[in-house]
Amino acid sequence: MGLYHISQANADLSTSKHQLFRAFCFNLCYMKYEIGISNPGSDDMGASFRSLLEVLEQVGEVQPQDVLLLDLHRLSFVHPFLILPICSLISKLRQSNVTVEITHGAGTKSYLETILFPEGFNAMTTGDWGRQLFNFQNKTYLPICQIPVAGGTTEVREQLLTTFENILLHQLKLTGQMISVVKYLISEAMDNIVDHAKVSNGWIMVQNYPTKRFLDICILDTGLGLLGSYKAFDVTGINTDIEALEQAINGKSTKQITETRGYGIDTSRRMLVDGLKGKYFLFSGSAFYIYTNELEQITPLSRNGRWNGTMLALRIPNAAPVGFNYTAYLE
Amino acid sequence: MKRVINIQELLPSTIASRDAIEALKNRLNVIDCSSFVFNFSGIDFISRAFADELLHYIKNSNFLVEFESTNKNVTEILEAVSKNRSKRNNSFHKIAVTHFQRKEELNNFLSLI
Repeated sequence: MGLYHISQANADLSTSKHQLFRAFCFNLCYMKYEIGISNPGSDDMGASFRSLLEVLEQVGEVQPQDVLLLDLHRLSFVHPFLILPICSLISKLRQSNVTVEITHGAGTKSYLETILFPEGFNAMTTGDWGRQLFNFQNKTYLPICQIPVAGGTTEVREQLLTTFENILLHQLKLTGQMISVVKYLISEAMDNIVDHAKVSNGWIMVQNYPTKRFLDICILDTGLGLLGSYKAFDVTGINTDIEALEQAINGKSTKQITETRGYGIDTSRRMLVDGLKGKYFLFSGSAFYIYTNELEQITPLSRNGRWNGTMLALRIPNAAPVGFNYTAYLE
Repeated sequence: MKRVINIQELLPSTIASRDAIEALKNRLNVIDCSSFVFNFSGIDFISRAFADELLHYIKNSNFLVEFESTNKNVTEILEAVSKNRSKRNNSFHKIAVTHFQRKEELNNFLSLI
């Protein structure tokens, strides 16, 4: 058994920005797909998201036993908001018995290896993981990292996040309130995954842009998603991804103890955008929320693109504006 | 007699998750005492979620607990969470929902962010 030769399809791909190719296998029991990831072309958050959406729209057709060729040749730089979801997607597809083959260009090869693409750093399977992470303390990034969130992993997770954040603070040379802000944003996002996603691990990646004076943090999971989490806890009256986003942003908790739960997303977005003038992006199911100083809106996706889980993208200025007071956003 | 619990012996310097409370519960469960001092020396940061869970745990147990050696971060989080346990702003923040019928429209929008 083997695959039908698809060299012609590959040749066509080189002249077409985005196409999905199907190749028949001899026994017709699986399909072979090829997806080329387009280069975002800029550091803008929306540029990475546009490239990601193109992938998601195509990958939705892939079924267990299929073969997926993921072509990264066009990427000239790898942004967390694109590469982290791609990593978790690859992991999920492989868990679903999809064969994923990856090709990339020479320009990004070294960086992709350094950030441990696509498997990411896994403390549960890495001996002396703390020492390995400390190798990144003089870089401007931290590797793709899997954060264990299943039962019984609390101790490792807490140690890992502490190490991760301490290296990050060393890299960024953050002082004062910014230390608290970064820790607050990461901890709230990770705790949401622990509490709601029903997965064995979350994912995180950080890239600092010193000359541009901001850092990007992407934190995500491939779990229940916001709507799925509300449904899992039998919360009534929330029936769409749009409603789930709206309720989550308003602090609607899945738990009965509503007076003390559900603050994380609301305080995080206000602290980041109202306070620090950063950008907050939340994507779950078939809708995403964007909050910046210029706009705030929820956008449903009418095409196939959806994120099965929850993806959070944070663009954080590396210094607080004059007058910023972190505690004003605590609730 | 009060028993001092050094949080640093149970948890790392940054406490992120709500369920980190289990480490503390496990420790207290094997101590025959009902009055404690939680010493936060060496703890740089606790998340809002952990603070909330900690206060819940204390409230629902019959322990008498004092905090000591909390740094500015930890103090602020504990105070903020404690203050909001009895008061919550229930106003609903309405968010605009924008549909894009065409891919080009969506891409144009994404180019703005």
